[in-house]
Amino acid sequence: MIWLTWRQHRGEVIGVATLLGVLGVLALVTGIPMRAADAPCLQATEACEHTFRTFREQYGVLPLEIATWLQIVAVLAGVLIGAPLLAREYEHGTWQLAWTQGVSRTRWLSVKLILVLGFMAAAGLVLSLVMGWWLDPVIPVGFHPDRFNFAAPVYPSYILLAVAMGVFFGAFIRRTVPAMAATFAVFLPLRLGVESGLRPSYRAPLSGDSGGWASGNWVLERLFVDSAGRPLTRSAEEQLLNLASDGDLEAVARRLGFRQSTTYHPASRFWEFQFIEAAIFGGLALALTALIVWRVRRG
Amino acid sequence: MNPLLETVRLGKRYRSAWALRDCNLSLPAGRVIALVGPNGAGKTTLLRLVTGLLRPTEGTVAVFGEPAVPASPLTGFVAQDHPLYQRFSVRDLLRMGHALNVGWDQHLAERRLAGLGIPLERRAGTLSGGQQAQVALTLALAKRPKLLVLDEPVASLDPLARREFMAGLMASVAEEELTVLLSSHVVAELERVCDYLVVITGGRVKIAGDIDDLLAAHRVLTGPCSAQVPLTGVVHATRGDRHAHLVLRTGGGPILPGWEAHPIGLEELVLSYLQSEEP
Repeated sequence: MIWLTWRQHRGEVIGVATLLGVLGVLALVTGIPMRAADAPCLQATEACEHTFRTFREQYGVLPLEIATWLQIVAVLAGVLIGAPLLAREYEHGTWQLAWTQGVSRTRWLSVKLILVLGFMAAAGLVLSLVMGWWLDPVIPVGFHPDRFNFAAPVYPSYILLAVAMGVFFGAFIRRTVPAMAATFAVFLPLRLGVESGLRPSYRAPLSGDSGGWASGNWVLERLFVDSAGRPLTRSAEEQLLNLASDGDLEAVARRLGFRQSTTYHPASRFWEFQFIEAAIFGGLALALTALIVWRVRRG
Repeated sequence: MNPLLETVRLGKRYRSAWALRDCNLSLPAGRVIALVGPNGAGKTTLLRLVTGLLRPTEGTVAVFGEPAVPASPLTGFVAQDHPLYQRFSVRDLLRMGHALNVGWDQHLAERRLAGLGIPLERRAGTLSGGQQAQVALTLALAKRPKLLVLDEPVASLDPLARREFMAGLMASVAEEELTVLLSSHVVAELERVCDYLVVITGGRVKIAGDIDDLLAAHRVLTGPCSAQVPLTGVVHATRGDRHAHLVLRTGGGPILPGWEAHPIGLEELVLSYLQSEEP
C-alpha cells in the first residue's frame, strides 16, 4: 500500500519538494546578507522608523512579495492534490480495480490519507519555518498577518484542511474538476473569513493607551477619548479635526485634554491565538476526514 | 453441487430508483455464466454486489456459502471498460497486484503477458484497448481467484480483439478451476464460451439455467393467426397479418395442432425473454 501510494503520488511529492527547494535557496541567498546587516532598532522614534524603512526597502521586497504569493499555496494544495485523490479514481473507474484487490478499502484509504496528509503537513511545517526565518528581520511582529499566517502550527493546519477538503469534495462529488472548483470556492472564503471575522475575537481585546506594532501588540482600534475615558462626541471630534487641520493631531488632542485609547491583543497572546486557530482548522480537517472514511466505507 | 453464488431477495436502490429488485439466483460452480440484459438492466449492480463493491439495500448475496465481502481473495474482477492506472507501466500494475494480494501469482502474470506479447515496460495508457483488457484480465487472474467476474469485458473492443480476449479467457478457464460470471448486452459472442445463462431486465431476473437445457425446453412455433394459442408456456408472441410466431416453453408436452415447431437459437431465446411481459 505504501508503495502504491508513493507510485500514485510521486509527481506531487516531487512538485512540492521542488517548490520547497527553490524557496529555501531563495531564502538562504537573500536571508544571510539580510541577517548579517545591522538590525534596525524598533523604538517608536522617527530615526528608528527611518532606518527600519530603509532596511525593509533594501531586504524586504522579495520575501514580502513571495509571502503574498504563497498565501495561495494552501488552497492550491487542496485543489491540485486533495481534490483529485479520490475523484480521479471515481472518474476513471479505477476505484473498482483498487477495491477488488486483497486490501480492504478502509486500509487503502487510511494509508493514503495518512501518508498524503502527513507529507503535506510536514511540507507546510518546513515552509512555515523557512518563511518565519526569512521574514523575521523584516516583520518582527508575530501578529502581523504575514507572520501569523505563515507561523506553525497555523500554516500546516491550513494545508491539512485544504487537502482534506479537496479529498472530501472528491469523495462526494466524484468528479475532478467540480471537486477542484468546490474546494477553491469553499476554502478561500473560509480561510479569509476566519482571519478577518474570528481571529480578533478569540479573546476579548484589552483597552489602554499603550500598544502598537512596535511593542508587538496587535492593535485592533485606535481612537481618541476625553479625559473621562469616554469616546469623543461628534462635535468634540469636529472641533479636534478643525483645530488640527494644519498641525499635529496628537499635540492638539493633548491640549484639549483628549488622549489616545487603543483596543489590542498583547504580544503574549501570540501562541494562544496560534493554537486556537490551528485547532479550528485541524478540527475541521479531522471532521472532514471522518466523513471521507464514512463515505468510502459505505460504498 | 454447491452453489457458487446464491442471492436471496437481493435488491439495491440508488436514491429513489431500484437498480435491482427481488433477485433470487443460485448459480453453479465450475461454469461460464452469461449475465445478459439490455443497458441499464441491473447487470453492473448485480456484479458489484457479488464483488462486494456495493452493499445490498435488502436481501443477501453469498459467494461459496459466505456473504460477499469486499476485497475477497476468492473473487477477481474486471470492471467495465477494464480500468487501469493509465500512467502506470504494466510492471507497476503487476507490482501493485503483488503488493495488495496475498495469493498473487507473479509467474502466471508474466507468462501470460509474455504470451500475449505485451511488454512490461509500456505504460498502460499507451496500450491498445485490447491489450489493456488483457492486462486487466491478467491482474484478475493472477489473484488466483475461484470466481472471476467480468463486466462487459468485450463491449469496447473490436471484433478481432473480442475473439482474442475470449480465447484467452477460455484457455485460463480450462487451466484453472475457475468459475466465470460475465455480463454482456451482446448475445452473439457468448454462444461459444458460455454454458449457463441468466437473463435480467428492468432490475429483475427473467430466467436462469443451463443453456443446453434451456434450448431443449423451448420451441419456436409458427402457425396461422387462426390457430389456437396454447394456454400456458408462451414466453412471447408476435402476430403478423397471416402468421403468428410464438416462443414456447414446452415442458415436453404435445404441440397443439396447426402449429409448426422449430428448435430455438440462443439469441431468439434471450430476446423473447427480454420482450416477455410475464414477471
